[in-house]
Amino acid sequence: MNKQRVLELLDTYGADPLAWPAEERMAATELLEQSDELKAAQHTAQELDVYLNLEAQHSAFSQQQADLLSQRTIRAVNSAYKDKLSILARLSKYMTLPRYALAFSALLSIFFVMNLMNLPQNHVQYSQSEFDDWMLTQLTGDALNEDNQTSLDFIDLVELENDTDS
Amino acid sequence: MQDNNKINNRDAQLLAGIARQSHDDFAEFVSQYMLSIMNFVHRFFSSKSQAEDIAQDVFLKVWQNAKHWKHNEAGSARAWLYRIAYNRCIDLLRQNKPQTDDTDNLSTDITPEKILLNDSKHKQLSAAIASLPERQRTALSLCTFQGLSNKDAAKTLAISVDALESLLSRARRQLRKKLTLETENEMNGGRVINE
Repeated sequence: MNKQRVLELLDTYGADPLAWPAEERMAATELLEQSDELKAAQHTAQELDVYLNLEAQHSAFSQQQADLLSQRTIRAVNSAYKDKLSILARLSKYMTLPRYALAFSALLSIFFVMNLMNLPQNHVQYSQSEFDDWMLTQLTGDALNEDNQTSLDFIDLVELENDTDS
Repeated sequence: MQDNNKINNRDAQLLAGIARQSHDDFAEFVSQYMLSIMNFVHRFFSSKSQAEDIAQDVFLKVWQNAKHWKHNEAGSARAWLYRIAYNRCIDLLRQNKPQTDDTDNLSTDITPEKILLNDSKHKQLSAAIASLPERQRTALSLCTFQGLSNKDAAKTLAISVDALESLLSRARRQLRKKLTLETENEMNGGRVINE
């Protein structure tokens, strides 16, 4: 703390030490009491303070006006809050029917999922050679059947001839 | 100092309550600060009705945004409240010129106190304060008339404490200069009339 800083405090915050920053107040007051120059500066600052204090006491509005506006503001917030609540209440009233529908659809979904889980799982593993055979059967199945039929016919004919010979 | 701490703690509790949508806490907070905010706003707008509308708007914003208030970032609850009010005033000043109601200047209830306050020196001071640059006027208003600490006032204006002190000292110097000049003019005027 030095004289310059005390002059700055007087210039910035006025003559009343209570208006000065708390952390500087004590040191500044001690210095002020020791210096006539600083006391004179304090006196100059005091003149403006008198007018500023008068201005600070002056209120453009009365407490009654402030109270009325406070009540209006509180009412505005309360009614907005009630409106919000009533909207929710109305919504919940209309939500009764969908609530049952939602419950029913939830039950249906559970039933459907459980049925899906119970479906037979035909996941048989085939080796590559088995798959090739199957493919071959698919591609040539009819032809083979015809051959088989032909070969059976031929066997039957040979047996018939043998029977006739004997 | 302890009283200030008590007030700050109570304000913080009230804001926390408002954040939880407590109507009682909101009512207490509004009742406590409505007059101060009305007067603070009136420094920006000469129209009383406009000042009332803005003050109401400020508290509605408090109700809506209390949950966003964080002590470390925004300073005390008072600093945050005044910051909302200050921002609202600046926004409106940028949007449009302030209204002036002639009816506002008509005094309906003349009391001895008002007569005292409306003396020439007070008028001079009011005019001198009104003629200050906006930032200087706001800094002076926050620290001198609203009683905010320098830290809270700096938070309200979103500036450093050093910058706030600079604004305050310039404001006070200008006021001293204007009041001295006007007093001298009055005295000179008085002499002319006497002669």
